[in-house]
Amino acid sequence: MIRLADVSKTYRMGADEIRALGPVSLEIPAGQTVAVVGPSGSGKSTLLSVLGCLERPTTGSYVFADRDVGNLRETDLARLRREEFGFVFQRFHLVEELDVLSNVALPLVYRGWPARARREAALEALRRVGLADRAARRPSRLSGGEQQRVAIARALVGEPRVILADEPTGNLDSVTGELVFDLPVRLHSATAGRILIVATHNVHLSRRLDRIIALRDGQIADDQATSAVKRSSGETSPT
Amino acid sequence: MRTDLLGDAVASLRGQMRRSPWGAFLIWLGLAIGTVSMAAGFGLAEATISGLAARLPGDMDRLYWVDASTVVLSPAPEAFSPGVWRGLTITTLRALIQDGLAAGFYFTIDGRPVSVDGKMCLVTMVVYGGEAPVLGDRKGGPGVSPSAAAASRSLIVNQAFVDAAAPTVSEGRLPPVQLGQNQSAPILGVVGPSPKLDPVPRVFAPAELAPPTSATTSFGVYLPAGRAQEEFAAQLSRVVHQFNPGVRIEVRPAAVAMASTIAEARTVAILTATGGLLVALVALANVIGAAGAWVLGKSRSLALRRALGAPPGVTFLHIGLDLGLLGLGAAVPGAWAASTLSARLGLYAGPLGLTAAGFVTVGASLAVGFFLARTQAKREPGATLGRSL
Repeated sequence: MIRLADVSKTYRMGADEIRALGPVSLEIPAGQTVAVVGPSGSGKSTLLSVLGCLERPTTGSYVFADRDVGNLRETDLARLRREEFGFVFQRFHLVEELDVLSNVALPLVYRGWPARARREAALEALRRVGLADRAARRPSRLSGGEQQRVAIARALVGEPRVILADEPTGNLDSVTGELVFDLPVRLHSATAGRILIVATHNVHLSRRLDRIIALRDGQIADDQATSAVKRSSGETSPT
Repeated sequence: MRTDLLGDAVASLRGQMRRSPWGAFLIWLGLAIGTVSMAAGFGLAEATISGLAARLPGDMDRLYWVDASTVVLSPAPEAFSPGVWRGLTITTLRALIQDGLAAGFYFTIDGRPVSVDGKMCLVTMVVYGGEAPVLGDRKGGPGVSPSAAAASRSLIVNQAFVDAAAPTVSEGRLPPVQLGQNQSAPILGVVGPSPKLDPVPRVFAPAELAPPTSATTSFGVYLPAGRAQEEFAAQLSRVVHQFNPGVRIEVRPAAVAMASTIAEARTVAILTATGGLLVALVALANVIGAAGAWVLGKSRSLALRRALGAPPGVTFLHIGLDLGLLGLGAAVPGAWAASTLSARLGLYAGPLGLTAAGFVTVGASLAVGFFLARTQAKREPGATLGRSL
């Protein structure tokens, strides 16, 4: 479903060019959950940004569901983002001027859904993350964990095929982080064919996913199924 | 829940206003200053052009300007020798109409003293005879026309005259005008635009009211349709030469004679309008800077929406709404301020200039918004969000 071939991303900083990613090549089949791990500056966020069509690769090709993303116009990229991807940001990125329900429904506005259907879908997404009773509140009236659950509801609401989460627990304490991390794993991956890609520093959490891709200096340093990682480290797989 | 596209854009505007009230104020102030300066410039231009139009008589194709002078061998006073004055009297001019050589004539006397209720006033008197559409575009009430005034031996005056001679009297009860020691004439009506556009007190007097010996050395004449300029000049010369063979008659199309006046007024109009536009451009440059900072301030919010799948048009909607509303919010009070200031300073600010300034302000805001939105829409949302999903 996702195929990167020799993809790199370079940024220009004045006269200098900084290669943040690549070249990397990888394939992610439908239904897989993937953890992208690595130290800060290793290219995790850039990889997710490219995968989510938020940035175009500088070189290489990116094919999503048999479509060459590199050749798409901005309008088509926007359509791809609203129909195929859900995003969970480290800093939540909720719109303070909108209430929680409206925040969750926002992606559906861009899909052109009617108001009633938007409301029902948003309420259902909030119910799934346990925040239906906070629908009328402003984001700033919620705790960090609640805000991130709202962000997860927003990512889930349109039932996209892919959810990309960049350090979703980065701004949360460990207990809340574990609860929040479980939500997309449980809710999104429960449906067959869905992809979940999570960038995280947290090795413990990353082992709850199917596959772990380790990045170092923008390159893939390791790419293994979690079961293989666990075997090599002597852990037993959870039953 | 108010998440439709417009509701989202309004929410985004509210958020940005809260985050950057000074940015909003600076944009608003720049646009308001631009509106005021443009309205002032346009008002001056409009006043100049309207003033010029008011001075021009109607049918320019049939209007000629006649100058009479003697061959000057000695100093200037010779040009006004008694012969010239005797030749070009009201009587002579009216005879031209009776003989079918001219359809009408007019000439002006600047600084003519008249009085109203004992109050002396210096006016520009326009004396006319026959078919003489001397009022130009000065519209008056129904029935106020040169021919009606001639038939009733009454005067037509402009608003500046009323303000100068009888400021406390309503138009319907204007007292007669004392033209000389034993001659007075009623006022048929008031014509013309506001005194701000035409500040010179003017009295339009039919030739019937002027003493028969009144004379002039230059006047405008309307030729009958089909009458040649050369034929008229020859006939007029024959009449005048009976009194003074040394008088030279020059007949020129009025458009040629007035070309310098028109050019001067046109230059003044262009300069004043350009001045207003220049000040507006300086204000606009400030607006562009402030609007750029404004859009930069909401670039993250726009990038978030694009990440959530908003098409590029949403960026245009958000920025267009912001700057369009700020432009409208500045144009209305700006036009009001221009109107008030102009009234205080005695300048003219007509509805045309104020409306034009308002439209330019809103249009410029939208144009700036469009330019900034296009730049913003080209940026990759991931880059703006700092690659922090």
